[in-house]
Amino acid sequence: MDLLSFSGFLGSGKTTLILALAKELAARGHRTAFIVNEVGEVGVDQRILRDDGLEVYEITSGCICCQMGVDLVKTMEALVREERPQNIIIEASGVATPDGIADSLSYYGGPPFASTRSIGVLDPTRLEALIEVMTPLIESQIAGVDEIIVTKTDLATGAEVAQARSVAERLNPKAALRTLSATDPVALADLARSLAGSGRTS
Amino acid sequence: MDAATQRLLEEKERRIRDAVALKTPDRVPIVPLGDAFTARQAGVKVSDFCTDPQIAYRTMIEVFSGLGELDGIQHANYNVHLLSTIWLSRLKIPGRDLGENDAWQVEEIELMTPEDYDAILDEGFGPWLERYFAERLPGTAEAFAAFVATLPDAFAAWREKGIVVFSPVLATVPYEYFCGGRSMQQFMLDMHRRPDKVQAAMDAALPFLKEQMRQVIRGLSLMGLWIGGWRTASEFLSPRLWERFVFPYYKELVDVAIEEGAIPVLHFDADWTRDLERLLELPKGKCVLSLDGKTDIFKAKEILGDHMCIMGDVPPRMLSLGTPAEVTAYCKRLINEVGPGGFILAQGCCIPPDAKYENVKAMIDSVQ
Ligand SMILES: Nc1nc2c(ncn2[C@@H]2O[C@H](COP(=O)(O)OP(=O)(O)OP(=O)(O)O)[C@@H](O)[C@H]2O)c(=O)[nH]1
Ligand SMILES: [Mg+2]
Repeated sequence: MDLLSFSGFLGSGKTTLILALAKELAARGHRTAFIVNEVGEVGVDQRILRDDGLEVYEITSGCICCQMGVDLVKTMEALVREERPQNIIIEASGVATPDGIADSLSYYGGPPFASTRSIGVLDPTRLEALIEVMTPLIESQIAGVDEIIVTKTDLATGAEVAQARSVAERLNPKAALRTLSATDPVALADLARSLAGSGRTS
Repeated sequence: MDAATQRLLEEKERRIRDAVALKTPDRVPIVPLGDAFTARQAGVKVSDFCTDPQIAYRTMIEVFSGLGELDGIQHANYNVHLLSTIWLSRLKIPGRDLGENDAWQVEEIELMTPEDYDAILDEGFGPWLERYFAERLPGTAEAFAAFVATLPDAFAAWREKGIVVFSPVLATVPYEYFCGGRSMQQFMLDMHRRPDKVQAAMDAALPFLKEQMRQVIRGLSLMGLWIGGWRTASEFLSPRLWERFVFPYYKELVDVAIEEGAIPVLHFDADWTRDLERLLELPKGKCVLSLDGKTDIFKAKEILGDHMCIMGDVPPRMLSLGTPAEVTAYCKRLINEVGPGGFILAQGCCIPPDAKYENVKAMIDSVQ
């Protein structure tokens, strides 16, 4: 069982990327569960996803609050017990950090994961504004992750993508860095291939 | 009220006031807060609890008075519509939009538009707010008024049980209102694209919020009140913006509360560690800093221990997923290292709905 967790600011493109990725994983015969930890509306049509072989679990919370970690752990323990998926993908809320997720997962009492991998998503179209306003949050969403994905390249200018790459390299030089558009099937297939079984073994 | 209860209340109030004044009381006071947790424990539907303030305070009193010897309670009553009055947001309400026992939710959508900043400047914040509730959040003002009307009875009922009503009302800075109304994502971009407009609207809102707070403190003779911070936390925002859009507004609210003789309880969720030193600028021995487990409370003690009473911070997660032994051990550490003077024991944030009864009890008993 592998665990992938995605973090990134509100609207950075996490859900889009995860859904596309999950489809690719399903096509490769991996059973995948997706836990989405939203601040607001989830806006995911769960029926369609189930037909694609993806179980979706929503965790919603009113305030940006402490309760979310508890729900995450309980949801994970239940789904591991009941579904035994091969992959679990967690979408952290847009204001959560990888450290916060790791902190919550320290209470996880289910069977251990074969590997875990954390991914930070950067939206190059708004990065300049957001990094000015929310330096600490954006930095901590990127700093500790194993891999950084600069997404929305179809919308961003070349300069925006270059800036996002340089921010990523500055904040987390060790992380693998990838640039893609969630509208590009080839890039997504490549991502799925690389993530399926690429995590750190724990 | 009989004389014994009256004496008990005075003793507890003194214990809390001593802690706030940075003295060392006979023991550390315990002043918790829980809402949906009490509904769950009493077998009351969350849908009823969060919409009927009569049911809410009776349920809270029933559960808390059975849990052990509390010195005080932070909030005397609950109503879900309070959330709309702070974050200017629509809600998903159990029983109406969700299952009867689900957790209520604040909708993170853009209900307030960029044009509203201008409207606030044109109309004044008070009239704008009234119109906003009437047009975009119908029913909120009425629900809020009904809630406020129950407060005197709720206060009396808690006191009858010998429990001090500590901080039963909440106030906050314009940032929280706008960030909620605009949605966090849009508001962050507002602070980048139109910072002067945002600041002008905040400056227009502040006098109204100060006056409202003053009237509430007087009207209800409050011992203290929450001055809340959620999305304003240091962990989210760049220092320069925090200095501009956050801290000056808190300072002004704190000053009004103190002027009116109420204790400002800075209910600061998320991580404020970066800016703890700035809190030295607030009046000494008058405020309480209430932390939720994310700010380093031991560091807070180091920096603010001689300046501000600290409250907290048994992590909600520990109350849900931990054991009584863990809770007791953590509380003892808090009492010894953050207390025994200038410290009030409480959960961080709020006791979560699915907290274990025995864990909450272990927290409350740990001060004895
Ligand atoms: N053109 C384009 N649009 C994208 C891409 N990725 C995401 N989007 C759009 O960006 C918006 C936000 O994407 P989401 O996937 O919902 O972002 P999120 O990070 O899950 O957002 P929250 O859960 O609200 O934090 C949506 O309108 C997506 O359709 C991309 O690569 N290209
Ligand atoms: Mg999403």
